Amino acid sequence: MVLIQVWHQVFQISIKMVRIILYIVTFLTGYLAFAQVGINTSTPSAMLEVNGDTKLDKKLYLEDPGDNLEIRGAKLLIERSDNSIVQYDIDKSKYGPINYAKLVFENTSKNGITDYDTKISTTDYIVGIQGYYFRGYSDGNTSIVSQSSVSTNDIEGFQVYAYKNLVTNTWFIRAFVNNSIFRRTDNANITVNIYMNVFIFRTGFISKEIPSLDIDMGLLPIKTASKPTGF
Amino acid sequence: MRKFLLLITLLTYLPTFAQVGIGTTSPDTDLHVAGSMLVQKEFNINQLDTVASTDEDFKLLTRIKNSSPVGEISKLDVDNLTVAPINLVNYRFHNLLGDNLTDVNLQLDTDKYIVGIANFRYIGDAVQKLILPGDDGFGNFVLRVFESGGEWHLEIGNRFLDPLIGGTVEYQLTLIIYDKSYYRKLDPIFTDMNGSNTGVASSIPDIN
Repeated sequence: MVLIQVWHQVFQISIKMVRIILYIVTFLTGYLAFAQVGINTSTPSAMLEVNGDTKLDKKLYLEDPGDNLEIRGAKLLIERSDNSIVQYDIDKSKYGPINYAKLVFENTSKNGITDYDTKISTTDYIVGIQGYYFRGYSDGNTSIVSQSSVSTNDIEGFQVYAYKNLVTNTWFIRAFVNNSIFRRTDNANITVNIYMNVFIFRTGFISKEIPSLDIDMGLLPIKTASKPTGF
Repeated sequence: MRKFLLLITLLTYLPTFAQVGIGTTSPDTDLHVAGSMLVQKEFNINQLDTVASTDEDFKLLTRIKNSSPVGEISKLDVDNLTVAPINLVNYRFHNLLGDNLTDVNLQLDTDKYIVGIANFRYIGDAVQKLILPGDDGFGNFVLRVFESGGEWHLEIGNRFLDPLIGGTVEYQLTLIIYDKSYYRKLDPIFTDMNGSNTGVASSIPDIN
């Protein structure tokens, strides 16, 4: 409105005033930058409303975007390889940041599993075993023990783990008891089902591998280990 | 000059129904900023597409609190971070005293990290069942991380039994080191089981 009033006055004044008026208009035009701006909308609902797509060639800074106080009801934001920003939906995505699978090895040899190819890429994922149990294959018998072939006095150690096969570049799994077989408490020769909780972390998203550490305990039970790289 | 002023006035009042470029004369989109942008308050996106099932190698976006100006939106590039939200480290412990690894200080700050164990391997000689004649107990094999002095520690071994003299054992495992900015540590939950082997949690964590 101010500008329209200014415009009407233009008819009344001499041409010498035009330059002054022009300054005023220029000033007011600049002043409008402190009002709301709409692009493709005449009713902006924020300081800047873009009714359409926005492309930003460099960085975006959000000085005070507010905090999210709820765990649920929010989606993570991700940038795709074409630089577009989208929301992450674990139900639609090819993979989760963290994936879990229960692996069931049925009718396994009494010697356990010495080589099992998960076919999961070692480039894209990190695989690990966090828990396991076993029971009889034919009858689901839970009274399964492991017995050392060395001595009846031996309590042998378990090895249930995932490792990288450097030829296939896939994760392999082993699950066995050292020098032992699985058997039933009545000494029956059996096969077993082995159940495993397996985590599958996607690399390059929120997980990474840190170089391995080799700790020489120096025949002592107490030791301070060196820190992993970067910690 | 009158027409010029009229033009300026009209342009000032007309809403912009064209593509706008800032720092560019050839905008590619409705608004195209050929540079950086600072938003001091809220930033709302009404149409935000969702990840496609074919997408791979996308990056998580984070907001940096100590950038200048504050609040730079940046990709989380774990390959160039020293510490990622989830870190996996393989450890090998050898030259043990029997099978005893009573207390290894991992030097990982309990204020910053939560530590878990996976891929545990007991490699080497068995511990012996007999402690005293007639005692065929299995002892007590422990595999755990615990907090002590503000750092994570590790205990592995049978607390009562040992291998035969001259026997050797080594342990290998993967530590999963979670950063507490992404992985919350809840308060412990204590439940009195009253001598029973079944029970119900005494409280549930408030994680809604």
